[in-house]
Amino acid sequence: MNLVSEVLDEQLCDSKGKPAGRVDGIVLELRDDKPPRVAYVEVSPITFLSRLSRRLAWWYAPRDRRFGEGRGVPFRIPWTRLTRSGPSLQMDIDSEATPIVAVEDWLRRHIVEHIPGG
Amino acid sequence: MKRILDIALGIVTSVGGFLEIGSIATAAQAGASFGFQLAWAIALGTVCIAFLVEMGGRFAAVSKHTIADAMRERFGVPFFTTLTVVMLGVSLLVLAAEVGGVGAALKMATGLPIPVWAIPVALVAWGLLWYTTFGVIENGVSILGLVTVAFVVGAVKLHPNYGEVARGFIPSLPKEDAAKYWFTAVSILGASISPYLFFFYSSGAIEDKWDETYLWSNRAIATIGMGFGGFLSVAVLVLAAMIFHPHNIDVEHYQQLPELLSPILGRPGFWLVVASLAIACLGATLEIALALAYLVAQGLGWTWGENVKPRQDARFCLLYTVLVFAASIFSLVGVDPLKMTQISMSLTAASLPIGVLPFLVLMNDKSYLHDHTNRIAGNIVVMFISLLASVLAIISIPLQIVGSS
Amino acid sequence: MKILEVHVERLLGRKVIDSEGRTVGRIEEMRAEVVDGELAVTEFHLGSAALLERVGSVVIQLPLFRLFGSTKPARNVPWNLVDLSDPRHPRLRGRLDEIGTPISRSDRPSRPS
Repeated sequence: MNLVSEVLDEQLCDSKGKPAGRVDGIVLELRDDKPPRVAYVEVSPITFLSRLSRRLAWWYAPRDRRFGEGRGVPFRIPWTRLTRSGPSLQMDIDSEATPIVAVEDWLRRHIVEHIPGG
Repeated sequence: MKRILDIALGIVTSVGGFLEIGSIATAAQAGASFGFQLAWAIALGTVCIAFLVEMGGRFAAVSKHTIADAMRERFGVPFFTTLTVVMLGVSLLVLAAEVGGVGAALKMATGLPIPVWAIPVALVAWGLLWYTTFGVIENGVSILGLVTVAFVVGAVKLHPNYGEVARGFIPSLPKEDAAKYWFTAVSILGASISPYLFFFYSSGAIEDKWDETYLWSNRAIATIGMGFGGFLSVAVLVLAAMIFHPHNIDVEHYQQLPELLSPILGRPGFWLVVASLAIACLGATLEIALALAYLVAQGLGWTWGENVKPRQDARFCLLYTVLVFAASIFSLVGVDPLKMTQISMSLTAASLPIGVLPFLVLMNDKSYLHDHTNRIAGNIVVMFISLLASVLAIISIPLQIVGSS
Repeated sequence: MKILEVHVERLLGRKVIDSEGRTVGRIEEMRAEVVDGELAVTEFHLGSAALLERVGSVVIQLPLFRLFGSTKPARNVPWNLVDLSDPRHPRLRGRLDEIGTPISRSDRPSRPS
């Protein structure tokens, strides 16, 4: 497979089929006598911003921590937990159990649920 | 049978998407200042947007991706971010003009000044987006938008010299006021070829779960819908040409717009213009807010959709909420809707290349479109639009400065 | 043993220089295959101009663009010939003329839908 055109920036979904962001980064593990291993996929605004400007990502990272447990560092999904499912890549994890949903959750609990009739 | 109904509704939606304060104001100004001479600009804009919208629909139906999805996947983060920032900036101004348009209509109806209406209009728009589904918005506002047919009725009743109108479709050079002529032509193009329209349309195709069987419906909807919208704009131009132009009156205030129909249809004419303006601008408000929220949500991989309850796509819903209320601030502080329209149309024209050029690449990408990539004709048209867009990008802002003074 | 990690998205568009300082091309794609039960990068696809190459062969294949002359040919370089110990300055292990012939543009990858 081709990492840039088939994996990077692809839509991710969780074990329940719910959208879970996009592949913001791919981490390769370099080894001495073996080809680089595709180790993880990263999903995080920090990784996203680092593709625009490393400094911007550095500035943002500590602020990301405010959204909860597991935030403040890019969230990594081991490659072995991903499979292709139609136009998306599916992870065998429930996104509710990951830091991916932190912002969405916060907004839902603190704003959306206070608006009548949603 | 259901398919025919789908097509009919799609056409009506396209009309609603086409006609809004930008196209009404620019057509009225063109008719008032230059008679029938600028009809060609409306025709050109209509043909361009019809092609772009058809392509957007085809792209979504075949690839099951929206254009925003593909912009991120194919071109990566830096490009996508630039595109989104530009689109947000420009479209927010257009959105502000549309909210202002509804406010202007309400002011004409009630006498209460526009700033009073800014928040109520935002609330109504927000309420429709938050509590209803895509189908309700698509169909409801569009059917109401048929009130704009009054412009056609009015134009026909004036018995224009159709020969002269036809001549207006042939591009001609201005006899005087060249800067203003070209500025108006550019504004008409900016009003017709709005990038948010094809982002909205491709997302709509996914919301409505189109597939390859919809390709012919898509062609019908794009051409007839946009065509009819263009036809309505021409009707406004004809009205302005026959009512304002002979007296050398320019359209500078939205309060002049009811004069397009009141001489012919009397008091009902006034109410028809007010209703047309309010409904067309409200429809555009909804579309633009959604188009921008779609762009961001799809590019970042969020859950999105009008048919999804807000508690399940909080970021998407809060984003359109922020956009609608941010847009209303302009009217709240008293910025004139017509001024906002003029500026936002020039900026739209200037920002076209960033949306259209990558689109040209996507429409030839076999990995998304398989056998349905553009044929030669389609590519030539998009290349022409890209060229036109690039020219507009360079000249529109200088013209705005020179031509509107 | 320290594990050295590199990011695909940070390698994208980086120039690869050979042992004599000549530019081989820019990293535009990485081909991965299952090797010994693990997915690993087996080839680096190098092209000429990063932006144009990310946009891909699509543009080049449009009839009009064929008129605009050729860009430097694309090359597939096996993983073992690329030294990523300094990810910001990837180096070719060897000389430009030692690696294989350029590949034709029609052998481009397509994406799943």
